[in-house]
This record gives sequence, C-alpha cells and structure tokens, in this order.
Amino acid sequence: MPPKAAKGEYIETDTGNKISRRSQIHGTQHIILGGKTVIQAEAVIRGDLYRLPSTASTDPSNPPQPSNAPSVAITVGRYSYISKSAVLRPPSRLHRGVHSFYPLKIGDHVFVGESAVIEAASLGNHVHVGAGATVGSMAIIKDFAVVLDGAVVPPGMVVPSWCVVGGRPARIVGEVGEGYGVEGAEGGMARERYRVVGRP
Amino acid sequence: MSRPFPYTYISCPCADTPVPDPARKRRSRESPQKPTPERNTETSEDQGETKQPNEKGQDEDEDEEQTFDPRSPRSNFSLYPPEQLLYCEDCHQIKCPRCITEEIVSWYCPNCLFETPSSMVRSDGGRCGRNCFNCPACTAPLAVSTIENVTGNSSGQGPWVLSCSYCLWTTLDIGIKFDKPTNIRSQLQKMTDSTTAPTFDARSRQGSRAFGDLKSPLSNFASIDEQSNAGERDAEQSSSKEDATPTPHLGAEARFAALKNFYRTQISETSNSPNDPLSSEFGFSSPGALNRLMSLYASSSRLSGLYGGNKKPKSKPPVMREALTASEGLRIASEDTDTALIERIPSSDCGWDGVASITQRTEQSPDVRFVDELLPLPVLLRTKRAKRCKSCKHILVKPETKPQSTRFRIRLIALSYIPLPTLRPLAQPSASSISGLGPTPDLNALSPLRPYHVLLTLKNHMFDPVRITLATPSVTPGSVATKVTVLCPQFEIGANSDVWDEALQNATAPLSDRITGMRGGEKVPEAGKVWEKGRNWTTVVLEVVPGTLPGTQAEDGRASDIDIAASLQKDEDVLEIPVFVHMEWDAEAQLEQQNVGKASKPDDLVARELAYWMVLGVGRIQASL
Amino acid sequence: MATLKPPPASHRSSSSSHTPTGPPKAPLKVDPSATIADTAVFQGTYPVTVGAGTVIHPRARFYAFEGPIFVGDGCIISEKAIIGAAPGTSASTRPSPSSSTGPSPTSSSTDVTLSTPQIQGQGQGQETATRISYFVTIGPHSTVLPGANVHSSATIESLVTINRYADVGAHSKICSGCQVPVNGSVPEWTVVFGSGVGQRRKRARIAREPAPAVMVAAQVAQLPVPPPAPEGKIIEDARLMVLQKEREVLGRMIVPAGAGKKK
Repeated sequence: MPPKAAKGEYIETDTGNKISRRSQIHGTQHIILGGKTVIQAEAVIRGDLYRLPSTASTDPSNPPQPSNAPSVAITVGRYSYISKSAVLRPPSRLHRGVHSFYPLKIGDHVFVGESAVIEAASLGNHVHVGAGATVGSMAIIKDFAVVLDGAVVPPGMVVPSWCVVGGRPARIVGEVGEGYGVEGAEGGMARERYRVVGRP
Repeated sequence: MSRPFPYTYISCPCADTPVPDPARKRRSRESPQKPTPERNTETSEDQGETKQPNEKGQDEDEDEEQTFDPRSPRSNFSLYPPEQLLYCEDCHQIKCPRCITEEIVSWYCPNCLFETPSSMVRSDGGRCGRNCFNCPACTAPLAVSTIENVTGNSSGQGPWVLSCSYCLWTTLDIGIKFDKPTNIRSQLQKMTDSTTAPTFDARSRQGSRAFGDLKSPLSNFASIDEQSNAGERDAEQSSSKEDATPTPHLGAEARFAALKNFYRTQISETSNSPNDPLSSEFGFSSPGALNRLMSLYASSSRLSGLYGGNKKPKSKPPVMREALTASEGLRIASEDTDTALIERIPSSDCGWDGVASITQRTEQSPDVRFVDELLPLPVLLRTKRAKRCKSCKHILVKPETKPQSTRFRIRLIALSYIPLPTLRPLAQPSASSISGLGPTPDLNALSPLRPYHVLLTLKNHMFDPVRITLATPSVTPGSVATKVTVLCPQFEIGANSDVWDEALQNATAPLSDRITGMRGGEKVPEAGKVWEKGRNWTTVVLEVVPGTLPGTQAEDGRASDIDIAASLQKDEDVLEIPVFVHMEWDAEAQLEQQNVGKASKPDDLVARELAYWMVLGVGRIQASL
Repeated sequence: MATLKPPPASHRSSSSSHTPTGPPKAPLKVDPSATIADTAVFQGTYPVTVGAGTVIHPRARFYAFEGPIFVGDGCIISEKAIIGAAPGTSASTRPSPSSSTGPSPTSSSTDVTLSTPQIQGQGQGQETATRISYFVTIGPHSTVLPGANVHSSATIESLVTINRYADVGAHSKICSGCQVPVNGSVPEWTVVFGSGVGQRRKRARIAREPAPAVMVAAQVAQLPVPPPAPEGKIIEDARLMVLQKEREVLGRMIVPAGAGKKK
C-alpha cells in the first residue's frame, strides 16, 4: 500500500494518471500510459530505450529524433501501479545481427511491487509482480499471473495465466483461485489502490 | 502465500463435516446456529475455559456451538482467501478446494502454450514434445540458440544448443549440440535412446518412449518356450545368454523398457489363459494377472473343479523366472563403478560443484551422479481443469479449452454469492489522543490495550439485497485475549443492481463518501449504526482492543521483548478475529427453478440463508505497550 | 491514451553537479568514448575512473567516499546500481539534491580535484578502492560496496549485493537477488544463483565429452559417438559480442551528461 505522501506529491494527468513528482521517467515521448496509472516515487521508467528504426545508422553523436512517429518503448494499461523504486526497462536482444530494444507492454490492473525490475516483453492484465522481484528480458507474463516477492523470472520465461511463480529461478508453484481478479478481491484491487493514491 | 495485513479468510464449512454427506446439502437452509447475543456471550465464556486449541478436537459433538478458532490445527484446512472459494448452486454451500473434484479439460505446455492432445500426453511422458526444455541445473527454461551465429550475419545456421539464460548452462556442458533448431526433443531422444538395438526396426526408435510397441529380444523365444520342454528351454536360455554377452549395459530407460518387456512376456507365457489380450496389454495389475494368480491356486487345489471346471488343470503350473541377461534388463552392480564414483567425487575436476544435487537428481535417471551427466528436461505439461461439487457432482468451474484463454464457460465463484469482506483500519481512534501514532495505525505493531477501530466492508455481488448478522466472540480465542465488539452486528446490503452502475459509481461515490467520513472528524463510530453504506456495500465498525501478550508487563516491556518473542508460539501475536456471518436473502424462485429444477411457484420469493465463519487478520500485536 | 508529459525540469538535473551544501562531487576521469547518462550520480571525495566504451545508465550512483572507484572499459552499469557506499548510511537511497544552480563542467576539473582525495585519504586512513574490470555488466538495483573487486567479463544481475572486499572472478555471473558475502570470493567461470548466498555452478569452458547417456546410446545403437561439441567458451564469446552490440546501441540512445560527453 502506498505510503502517505505529502500533498501534491502526485501530478494527475488528463487521463487520470497519478505520477509522483519524484519518479524518474526517461524518454516520456516513448511512453504511453492508458490512464489511471500510478507511478510512485523513484520508479525508473526507461522510455528512452525505444526501438530504433531499422535503417538508422546514425552516428553516435546524433541520436535520431523521434520527430514524426515516435516509436513506443513502454505501454502501460489502465489502473496499473508502479511502486516505489521499481525499474521498467524495455527488453533488448540481438536479432539478425542487430541489437535492438523491443517494446515493454504492461496491461491493465497490473501491480509492480517495490524495487521490482521488469525487463519483460509483456505483462498481461491483472498481473501482480511482488516486491523485489525480477522479471528477466523477454519474459512473458500472461493475464492473472502472480510473481511472488523476490522471485527471479529468468529471461525468456513464459508464465501462463492463473499461475503463481516464485523462487530463484522462478518456477510455477501454484495457481490462484478462480475468483482472482474479481473487483475488490485479490488481484482486483487496482481501482481501490488507485483511489487512495495521493489522498491526504 | 501469507498475506499482508489486513486480510480476510473464509472458512469452508466442509471442515466440520469431513465426509461428503448428502445431508449437508440442507445445512445452508436450516442454518445450524442462530447467532444471538446470548450465544455470543456463551461462546466467549466457553472460550475463556478452553484456551488450548487441542481441547477443541475433543468435544466434536459440540463443535457446532463452538467459536471458530483460527489457530486450531483444523482451521488450516478450512480457511481460504475468498477468491479461492466456489459456490455450488445446488447444494447452496461454499465449496473449497477440498470439497470439489477436478477433471482435466486440456493439457498444455506452460512454456510454448500449445495444447497437447490427450492422446499424445501418455506417449510424450506428460512433457512437451516440442522444443521446450528446462535447465537441469536450475530449472529455468532453456532457449534454442545457435553457436555459429556469433557474427550475427548468418542466421539460420547451425549447430544449435539449448542454453539457460539464468545459470548459463548449455548443452555444451554435456557435450551435446543439435543439427537443426526444430524437434529438439526427438533429436535428443535419438541421441540418448539406448532402448533399441540396431537390429530392430527404426520405427520404435523414433517413437518417443513408446514402450508399448517395443519388441522384447526374447519374444521369439517365448513362443518357442511354450512348446519346448524344460531341457530345451534351458538350452535356449544359455544360448540367449551367450548372445547377450556382447550387449553393453543399457541406459536406465532402456533397462526399464527391457525389464518391462521381459516380465510382460513372462506373464503371458506363464498365464493359463495366454489368449487373454489383457495380460499382454496392461501388465501386472490387469485382470489377466489376477486371473493367473487365481489359476495358480486353483490348479493346485481341489477348488479347481469350481473354477473353470471345463479346463484341465495343467500338470505343472508354469513358473515365472527372473531376468537373467543384460538384454533382459539385468544389471549386476560391479564394485568398480562404486569405487570409481568415490574416487571421482574428491578429484579436482569434480569437487562439490561437480556433483549433482539431490534436487537435480530427482529429475534425472537414477544413474546420474555428476553435473556433466544432467540431461535437459522436457517441460512438464500443465492442465486446465474443470471442477465439480463433490457431493452433487454439479460442475462449478469449466474453463475454456484453449491454453491461452482466460475465460470460463462456467465459473461459480463464492464471491458471486457471499459478500466480499474487506478490512481496513480507521484512521485515528477518536478516543485516543496519543501522539506518535500515524494517521493510520501500523498493523504490524498494534499496541496492546489500546482501542482500534477497524472498518469491515461487505460488498454484495448478488442481485438481491442481503440481511447480514455478524457475531464475534467478545474475546478472541488463543492465549492473547483481544476484546472485539461489532458496533453494528445487524445490517442490510443492497443488491448488486447493474454492472454499469457499479463501474460508474465506483470511481466517484465511495470516494466522496469516504472523504466526508474522514474529513468530518466528528464522525464517531456509534453502536448500532452502520458506518457507511453504498449501493451494494455496507461498512460497519469493529472495535478491537488488542490483548497483552503473555508475560508482558506494562513496565518492563522493552527489556523482555526477546524473551516474550521466544516464549510465544509462532504467530501467536497475530490478531485474528473469527466472525460468524449469517446472511439471509429472498431469492427469486425463477432462479431457483433454473438451477434446481424443483417445482416452486413462480413470482414466489424463496427465503435463503447461509452461514459461515470468516477470519479477519487485523494485525500483529506489539510485545511492549 | 495520452503521452506522458515530461516531468518538471527541476527533477531532471541537466548535470550531476551539486550545490555547495550538497555532498561533494566526485572527481571524474572519463574516457571520451564512454557514455554517461545525465542523471547518473557521482559523489565523494575520491576520483571515479570510467574506461573506454563504458555505458552508465541513468540513475546509477557512484559514492567514492571511502576510496577511488575504477570502472574498466566496456562495462554497463545499469539504473539504480550503486557503486561504493554513501557516507554514514550505506543504504541511502536518496539521490543527491539536484538543484542545478551552477552546472559546473564535470570532468574538465579532473586535474584540479585529483589532489584532493589524497589529502582526504590520509585524513581517513586506509582508502578502499572499488574495482570493476573490463566488460562487466552490473544490473539495476545492484550494489557493489567499497573494496569489492569485480573481474573482467563478469555479470552482476539485478538486485545483487557485492559486499565489501568481495572478489568476483572473471566470466562469472551473480544472478538476481544473490549476495557475495564480505571478503567472499567467487572463482572465475562460476555462476552464483538461487537464494541468499546461492548455489554455485562451474561454467563449461572447454569441450566436454558427451553425457554418458549419449555414449551408452551410441554404443547400443552401434553408431559412432557424436562428434565432439565445440568448446563451452564459444557461448561466452557470443555473449560478449552481444554485449558489445548492446553497448553500441546504448551509446547512441542514452542522453549523455552535457560535460561528460567529450566528443
């Protein structure tokens, strides 16, 4: 749960995103927030690591300007919650001799715990990533999956829906109940979480 | 998974009736106890006497009258987070994972998310037959990557390896590479498959672990044995033994297959009814095996006349022999192997890190002792399962078959029927004006003997309004006696009228409500009054006065913190409040008709009730005051 | 859906300089080909040396209070990695107050300030150098405490703590969430994984014989034993090559500190 912040800690955007003034967001033009998303203090979001156009062979001194169509590095859905000190970083890999970054897609009602490091290709809807967890490069976390606190999801792992993964390296340790994600119950707290953010 | 405070658990009533019992169906209607103020005090008195959870089990018959004790050993098996519970519309009862049965809807690989047809599951050994492997060293998924692609220019060139991006294990650690990036499973199978000698057909070598179509090397002899007399048989055996001497020792799987085949032929040979197809198809536990045993006894006793009297008892019942040759699966342990193992373990190139751990070995063949013998593990398949009520067999949950789908055809979760409880602490107890406390109390360090107000919100998901009666023991069970009072034990929750209403109101109405509740500092919890009420939810206040931990003295609390912690049983200081919930509502008869099919008059309202215990995890009590 | 507005300028310090009241700015000695993000933090009294081609991500923090920090060539230091220890509290997570009143040139003052740490060092007694060798990757949220020595081509994943005076061998990997204890030593070509101090595993460097199961199978099938697989080292070569590519890309993408980038 969010700590009680001083008044004015959060900036609220037109679409209802609540973004801490102390968040550390880079490359904002490459980040799309779906609305009602919370980004807490000291969370690092690396929008500057976007996918370069394949033909871009620019000299290092002059990074290509995202003039007309900025490629998207990170998308976050609605009612998602990025806790304090979490790191969101688009995954990267070498493909056909070109090392490039791939977009990091985060769904709706996602919770990313404190100090978690996310390098996944995608986090589905209603995904819960516990505090201090690591989601490795190009991992895919499907809808309604839970990553326990401190788990290390290895790069490239796929976590199926309704599964709970934990441990280092993470493996499937259980499943959530059928009611997971029901509004107000476990996995469905996103609205409530959003509501209390930034309240005096 | 332990949950952070505050949490709510709901007790499935099946813990009181361990055996599935049709009589239980009626329980929800004739609710077992009427929570009345008298009962409330009674139970609390009971509680004062029976502090030990162990004593609880002794008076089983009084169980109905007992306060639910969240610390009782049995409670472990009945308390569930609300979202894990189901509801049977036929039994009108909460169903926990213990009172349902499961059946598999589909099999899928959790890595590639492809469905495996159930016909393939057995032959694939319940594992993914494609390219999905787990690292034998650390269990992380393995990726297929090329070695020659270092420069990045020539993609699609082999050779290929499986590599773990977590612990950096690769198949090069065990000296294996693959020629093509597809069908790794069968490539690996081919490499490690020692089940077939080259003289046998290639078909069985391809079939992954399809032991069924393997032929025993002795199958030819078996048919001869039948006709041959004992002396000839001995000769056959010795000759086969000679044949087998050049055969090298087989791998574990091959040996298993050989042994299995050997004993299967032995059974079919020695069976009195060799025509019985079952004996060869299903092995030991089949009716054929039973038949063989029975006839063994029957033939040697005078009862033979009774069993299959038309059959002539054989003069000499055939006797099964044991595996004698290596090709039959026999392996004689040699002393040298053990010595070699022992010598290798302390050697410099092995050492501690070179020996496979127990967890690594459990997944491997029994011969594997060292890390450079570990083979990649094909990913175990997972299942999507439908769930049925154990007592009435009605289906409660049926997911869609496709592995990727998160939807359900049927999903009767308890949250659609019973109100969803949520708990949160009220900002500052109005009575106390002690400084140093934050606006919301720290639930991990509740001060003893200080009154806290906790807001319990019950949210109704049914389309009928519900009348709720709450009852708690006035003092919580366990050695830490916390006083609990529900300020408003009887109230109503409105119907869950419309989903869209909810979506629209959710963002605005409760917020404003709560803000007024919070800002208006004059709002004081009052006995008999509902704290807040929304369209389909109601919030009431619980007044909680945490008890002192045993041994805590008001003065020397600081000094003896550690002693207290040591003397306490684990989590004894966790404040959990058992709450008995009794709900009543008028269900529409039409709904009833649909689901039960019983004749009842339309337009009639059927009164329903449901009662269950829930446990509110409020927080942890501090040792010191 | 709305594109995020950039945060207020006051939170994106144009340079990692400090106010006179803030913690001292560590003297930087940066190779011209290194890429250092503008929001990386360098504090302390001892010099921080950054080698050629090294990439330092935003929000990485260097605390050279107990001794100099040497970062070799071709390293990647990720977000929120902490090299060294902040004075007093070793686990200070607060970044430096970033009110950029006077953006002083970062590394042009190297020569001037180089003499300072020596004086400071004498005052504090023994100085503790932190060394990060060539081609090292340090993941997000990881901490390398003073006195640690990370050898070349090692990988430190995220949320790792390399404690004081620990030694991480070349081509080793410390997986996420693991710790290397004080004075601990990880041999070269070793992977530390699992929980806490973790399990260890030797990586394959040389060509290995096929696993016994394969040998047996070949024997049974009377087929030739499969030709020997290449050396395990080839995987490491590939990894380092990928790392090289990643650095090149990052060098183009990361917004460098105004003065740190001397082209």
